[in-house]
Amino acid sequence: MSRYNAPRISRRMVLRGVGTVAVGLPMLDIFARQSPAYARAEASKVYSAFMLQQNGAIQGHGREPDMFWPRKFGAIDPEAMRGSDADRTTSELVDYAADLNFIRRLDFRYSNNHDGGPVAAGAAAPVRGSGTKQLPVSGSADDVIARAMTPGIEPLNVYAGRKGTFRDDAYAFREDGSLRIADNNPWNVFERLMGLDGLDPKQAELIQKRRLSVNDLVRDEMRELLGRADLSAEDRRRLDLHFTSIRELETDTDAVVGPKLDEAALKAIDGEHTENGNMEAVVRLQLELIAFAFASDRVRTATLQVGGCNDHTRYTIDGKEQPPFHYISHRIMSDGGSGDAIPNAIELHHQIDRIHARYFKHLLDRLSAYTLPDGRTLLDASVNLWCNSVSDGPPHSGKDVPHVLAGNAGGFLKTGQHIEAKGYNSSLLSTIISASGVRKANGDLVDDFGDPDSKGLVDAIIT
Amino acid sequence: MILAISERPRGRIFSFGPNWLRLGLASGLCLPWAACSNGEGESADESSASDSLGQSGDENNSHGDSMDTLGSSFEPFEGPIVSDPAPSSRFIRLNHRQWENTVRDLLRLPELSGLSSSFVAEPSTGRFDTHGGTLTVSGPQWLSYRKAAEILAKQTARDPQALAAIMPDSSGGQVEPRAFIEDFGARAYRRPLSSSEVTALVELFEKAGPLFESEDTPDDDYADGIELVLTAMLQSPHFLYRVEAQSERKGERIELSDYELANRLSYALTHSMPDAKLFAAADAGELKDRAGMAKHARRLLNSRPGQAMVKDFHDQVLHVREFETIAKDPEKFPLFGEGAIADLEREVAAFVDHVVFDAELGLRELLTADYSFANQRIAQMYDSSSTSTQAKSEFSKLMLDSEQRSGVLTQLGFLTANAEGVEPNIILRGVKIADHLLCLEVPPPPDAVPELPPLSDGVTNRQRVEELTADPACAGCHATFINPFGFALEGLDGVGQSRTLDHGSPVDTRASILLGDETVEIDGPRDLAEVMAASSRAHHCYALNWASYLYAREIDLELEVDEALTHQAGRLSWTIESTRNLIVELLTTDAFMTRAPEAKGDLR
Repeated sequence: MSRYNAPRISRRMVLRGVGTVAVGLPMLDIFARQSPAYARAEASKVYSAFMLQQNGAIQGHGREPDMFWPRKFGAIDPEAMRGSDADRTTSELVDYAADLNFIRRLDFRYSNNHDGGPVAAGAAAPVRGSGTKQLPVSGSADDVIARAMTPGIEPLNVYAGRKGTFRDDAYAFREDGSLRIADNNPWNVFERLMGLDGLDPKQAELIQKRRLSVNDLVRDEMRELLGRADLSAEDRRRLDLHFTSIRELETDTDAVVGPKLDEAALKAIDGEHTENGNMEAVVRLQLELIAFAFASDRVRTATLQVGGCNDHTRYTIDGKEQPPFHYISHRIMSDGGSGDAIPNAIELHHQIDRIHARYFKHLLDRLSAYTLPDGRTLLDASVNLWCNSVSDGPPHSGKDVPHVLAGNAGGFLKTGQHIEAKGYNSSLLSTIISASGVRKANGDLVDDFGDPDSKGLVDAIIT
Repeated sequence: MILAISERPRGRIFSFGPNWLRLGLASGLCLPWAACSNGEGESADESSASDSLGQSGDENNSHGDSMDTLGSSFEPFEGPIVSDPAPSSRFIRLNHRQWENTVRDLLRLPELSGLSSSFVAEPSTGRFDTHGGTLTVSGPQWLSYRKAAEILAKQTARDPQALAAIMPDSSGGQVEPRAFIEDFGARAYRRPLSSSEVTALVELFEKAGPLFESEDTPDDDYADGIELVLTAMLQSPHFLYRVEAQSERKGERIELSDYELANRLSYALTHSMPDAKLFAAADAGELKDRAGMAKHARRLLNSRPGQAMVKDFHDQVLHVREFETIAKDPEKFPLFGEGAIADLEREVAAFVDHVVFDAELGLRELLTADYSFANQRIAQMYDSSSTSTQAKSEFSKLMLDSEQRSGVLTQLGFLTANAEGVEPNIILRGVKIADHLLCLEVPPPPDAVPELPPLSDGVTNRQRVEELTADPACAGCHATFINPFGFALEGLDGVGQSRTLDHGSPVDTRASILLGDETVEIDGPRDLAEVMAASSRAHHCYALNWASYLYAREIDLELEVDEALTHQAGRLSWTIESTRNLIVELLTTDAFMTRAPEAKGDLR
C-alpha cells in the first residue's frame, strides 16, 4: 500500500463499451467531460518528465572550469545568458529562462558513480546489492507519481542508445525497487501510444474483438495459475505484473492540440535505433513521444535515460566523430585511469553537455507547443528535470550533481532562479512529487521521498 | 614456481563454508577508479564488507576435506553428486534468445524470426542471462509479445507451406481443429494439454471466422481459426514461461513431471524446446531415471545447439561480449582494424570447442593449454615477427610459447579487453580473474578514489599500481586478491604482445597469491595458470558457474544444499577433467531433477 496518494481525485479502472465489446480501459481520458470533477481534474493535472544524462558535466569541480552554470546566483538573467554567460551550457536554454530553476549543491546520499548514480538520481534511496546489480529499496519518483495520481497506469519509461554494455537501465524502479526496463526503440513506444489509431474503424473493431478473445483465454490461464495456493511471493509478484500488463486497446488521440508525431521518422529509425549515429535523433523522438503521451493524457510522468550508465555514444562535434563520451569524461582514451590523453577533452565534454541541454530544450519546445483545454501549455502544467548520474568527469563524484528544472507545475513552483539548495537530491525529488499533486496520507506535502534519514523540500522554489 | 605457506593475513577472511567464496576485509575497501567502467562497480558498499567480518576460516568446511589447499590433498571424486534441490522459481520466463529458438523450432521455421530484436532489451539480472526466474513481463514486453504473436500467427496461417509444416500429419494435410490443437498445443505448451485447455482453444478456433471477415485475406475459416489459436498460444503463460506445476511432495522434494524434466534438460542444453526424441522420452517416462536423463543429456550436449551452449557459457564467464569495447589505435596497431574483434571472439570459441569437444577435457586444459586457435591475423597478433602459416580466415591450432602463454588468461581477447591502449590494466585483469574464475566476491571500491599516478620513464605500470594501492585501506584487497593476478600477466601488454621492459625497467611478473590458506609465490602467467588449475577454488568456481548457468538460478552458498552441490561438483571437475562429464553429472542430480517446495513463510 502506498504511503502517498492524490487527495483531490480518486482514480480507478472502469469499463467502457466499444462497439459491442466491453473492455478494461485506463481511467485517464474517460472522465465524464462535463462533470465538475473533470474540470477540477483538468485544472490540476501536472505532468513530470525526468531526463538523465551520464558521465557528469563540466561545472567547475577540481581544477576544471565551470562551463555549465551562469556566473551569478539569484534571478536567472536572460540577457546574461545571451551575453556574458553565452559560453555556459545552460545558455542553450535561454528561450525558457523564466521557466527554469538551476539548482546546485545537491548530493547523492546512498549510491553513486556509474553503477549507483542513476539509482540515486531516480530513487534517492538506500540500495541493496552492489556494483551494477545494486537496486534501490523503494521506487523512483516517477513510480510514486504514477501510483498516486494514475493508479493502474505505469509511467512511460524510455531510453536512448544501445544496450548490453556495462549497465543499461538504472533510472526507473517500481515500489519494491525492481527495475523498470525502458524501451529504446521509439517505434515501439509509438505503436504502444497509438494502438489502433488511424485504422479503418471496422477493421479496428475486428482487431479489437480478436484481441479480446485471445486475452480472455490468456487471462483465464493466468487466473488459474494465480489461483494456486502454493506460489512463492516472488513468483506471484511476477505473474501479477504480467496479468496487469495485458491490455486490449488504447485511447484515441484526436483531441490532442499540438504537433502530431512524425510517423515516417519513427518508422525509419525502427531497427536502426541503436546505431551510434542515430543517438541524437532517437533522443529527440523519445522526447517527442513523452510530450505527446502527456498531451494525449496517456501518462502523467515519464523518464528518459540517455545512454547506458557509462554512455559510450560517439558524438559528432565540429564535423568529426569523437571518441566515446565515457572516454572523453575520463579525459583519456580509455574507460579506466590511464591511456592516451584526449587533448581537448574538456571542450568536447562541454560540447556534449550542450547537446544534452539542446535535448532538454527540445522537450520544452514540444511541451510548449501543446495547448490544454484550459488554454495553458503543457510546459505550464508540468515540471521537468534534467539531471546527471554523476557530478563531474574525474572522479565521477556524487556530490553537487547538476539539476535543471523547467516548468512551474501549474503554479506550484517559483521559477527563474539560480540557487544553492545544499542537501540531498531526495529533497528536490520530494518537491517534484509534491508539485505533481501527490500528498502524504495526512494531506501534507511529500517531504520524505526515498531517503529514510532525512526529510525536506527545496523550499526556495515552492510558491 | 616457488611454493611457500605463510600465515593468514590478519583481518582478512577467506573462509570455506557458508561464506567461502566471499572476500572480506576488516580494514576497509578500495578499488581505484581505474576499474570504473567495466562492470566491477565503483561505489562504496560498506555492508558487503561488514557481511564478511567475523567469519572464521576453514573450520566451516563441513565436508571434512582439505579443500582450501592447492590440490595435493584434494580428494578425488568421481560422482555421482548427491544433493537436494534448492528453492527455485516455477515460472521461468524464456529469455529473448530462448524465445527466438523456441519460435523457430515450434513453427519449424528455416531460421530465427528476428522479431525479438524489437523487444525491450533486458539487462542481465543474475550471474547469467539464463536466469529466467527473475525475468518479468511488463507492459512494454507484453505488447512486444502480442505484436510478435500476431505477426507469426498471420504468417503461418496464411502461407500454405508454413501451415503444412506445423500440421501433425507428416504429409502436411489439414486435420480437424481439435487434432491440430492437441498436437500443436503439446509442442507449444511443451506438455500434453488438459481437456479443458483443448476445449477452450477449440472454442476460440470456432469463433474466429467472423472476426476476420473484413481482412484483406481470402475467406478461409480454417486459416482464420489457426491464426487466432496461434496468436493465443504464443501469448500464453504456458508458452512464455517454463511452468513447473507439479506440487505433490515426496518428503522434502517435489518430483517434476516427465515433461518438466524434458523442459529443464532441453533449455539447459539447447536454449530451446524439447526435440521430438526428448518428447518421446518424456512420453515413455524415460526421464525420471538418471540413466535416461544422462542419455539424452549426452545426445543434446553433442548436438550443434549443445556446442553453441558451451560456447555461450564460456563467453559469459570470460565476458567475451566486452570484447566489442576493445579500441586500439588502428594507426599504431593495424592488426586491430576491421574484423579484429570478431577474430578475437572466434579464437576463444575455437579454443573452447576444441578443449571441451575434441579433446574432451575441462578447466585444467582451458587454463594451461600451450596452444590456441588462430587465423593469420591472430597468429600475427601473437607474434608480429612470425611468418604465419595460418590460413587467412580459417582457424587452426597454433602452438605458443609455453613460458608466456597458458590458456584463456593469456589469449588475446582477455589481455586486450582488460587494458588501456598498450598498457595492461593490472587491476581489471586481477578483478576479472578473482571474480569470474575464482568466484571471489570482490567488494566495490569507495567513491572518488584517486587516479593512477601518470606513466613516466623509469616507473613501471606495476609500481604505479602498487603506489596507488599501498594505503592500508586499499591494500587489504589489492595486495592479496587483486593485484597479484594482474602482476603475473605484466609480461603481456595491452595488445597481447610479450614484453620484457616496461617504460625502461624490467618487467616484474613475480607475485604472491593466496589461494585457500596458502600463499604461493609465482612468477609469470604459466605459474599463475598452473596454480589455478590445481586449486580447489578455481574448480569450485567453474562448477558453481556451470550449475548457475544450467539450473537457471543463482547458486546460494548460504544454503546447505547449494554448498554441498558446489563442493562435490568442484571436486568432480578437478578429478575427471572433463567439462562434458561435469555438465552431464550436474544435469542428473536430484538438485536438477526435483524441486524444493516453497517455504511456508514464502507462500502468498
